[in-house]
Amino acid sequence: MKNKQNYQQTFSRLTASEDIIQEVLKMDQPKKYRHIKKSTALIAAALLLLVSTTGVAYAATDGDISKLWDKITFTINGKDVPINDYLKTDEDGTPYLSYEDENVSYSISADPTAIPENWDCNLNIDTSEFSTEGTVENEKSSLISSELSSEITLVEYPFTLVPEGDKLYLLVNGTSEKIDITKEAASKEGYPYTWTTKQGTELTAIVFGTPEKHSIHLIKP
Amino acid sequence: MEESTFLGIAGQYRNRLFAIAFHYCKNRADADDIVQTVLFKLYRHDKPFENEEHIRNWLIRVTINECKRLLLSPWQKRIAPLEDYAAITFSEPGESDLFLAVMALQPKYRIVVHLYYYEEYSTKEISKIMGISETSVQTRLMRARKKLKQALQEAWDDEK
Repeated sequence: MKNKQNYQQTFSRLTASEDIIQEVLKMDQPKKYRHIKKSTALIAAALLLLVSTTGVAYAATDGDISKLWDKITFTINGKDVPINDYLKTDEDGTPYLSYEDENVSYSISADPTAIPENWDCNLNIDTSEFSTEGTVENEKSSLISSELSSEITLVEYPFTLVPEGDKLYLLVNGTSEKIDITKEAASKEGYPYTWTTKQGTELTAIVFGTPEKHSIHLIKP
Repeated sequence: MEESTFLGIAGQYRNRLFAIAFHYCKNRADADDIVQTVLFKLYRHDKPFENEEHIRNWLIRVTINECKRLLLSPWQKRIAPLEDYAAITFSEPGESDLFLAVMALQPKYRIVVHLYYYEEYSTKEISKIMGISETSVQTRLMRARKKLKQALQEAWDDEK
């Protein structure tokens, strides 16, 4: 019984932020939450810094976690640093990247199965902004993700963009559906495409641009 | 859910959910985010709960699922100010030792220990919440106790 009392007394010190309940009440209603308005989506897209020139779907591959870290170019404040100097190993023997200075500590882990082979991974820590930015791209110029302040998400787009002459088409993978998005993609709002992932998460990607040069901005839920 | 009902439940459970989330991510910012997500789901929950126990189990299960979802992200980043732990004050020296010893355990041990010692769930109830066998819960609990005993260099009884 003493152990339970000690444990409960010790961990009763952990308390959530005072304003957390008010924050929940301020959050959007479900309909707005699920169906993002285009204007909201644009702002979110800008914050997420998600840019790509073509939407290329990829298949996640299995890989060795140690190899994963080998293929990441790691920079601190834009300067190349040897990643091995910052790798540590957790209790399970899984390597993770750790950086600490007098103000902040970063601990970054990665799922190797989510990183496609032969793609370049870059990771930068900006110590003045307390932020990280990560990119995953290949020579076909698809940049999958980059984010300032929370976890980086790799997304397999369920569609392919196909330029044909002066038209830009969206082909839904695995179907014969072919949508002419030329006009919407050229507009300020872009062409939004919403789908549900295998994990049940609803995602929206917005296509902007022309048949010659276009980009996909992913909106996180 | 009615706002008044939500406020009552959220006020009652937010710190308990925070403690569970903290056991997973060891980070105040992430734990707050998880609790906020769970409470938002509670606020939007439109099916009636059968009783107090149903609410508690639902909240804890959703919290654990959110924690797992965070940990399973392809990339995870945590910005943890170094004073994150230091900001937690303890009245007895033994409390900080226990806190650090628990935080040093693997996540799968930490959460089982917390549900058993803090939430006072039985191993059978933990197995249902976690979606693992009762034997696995018992094994994890036994190994966690052994590690805590080593770390704290004192008796950590195998309470039944």
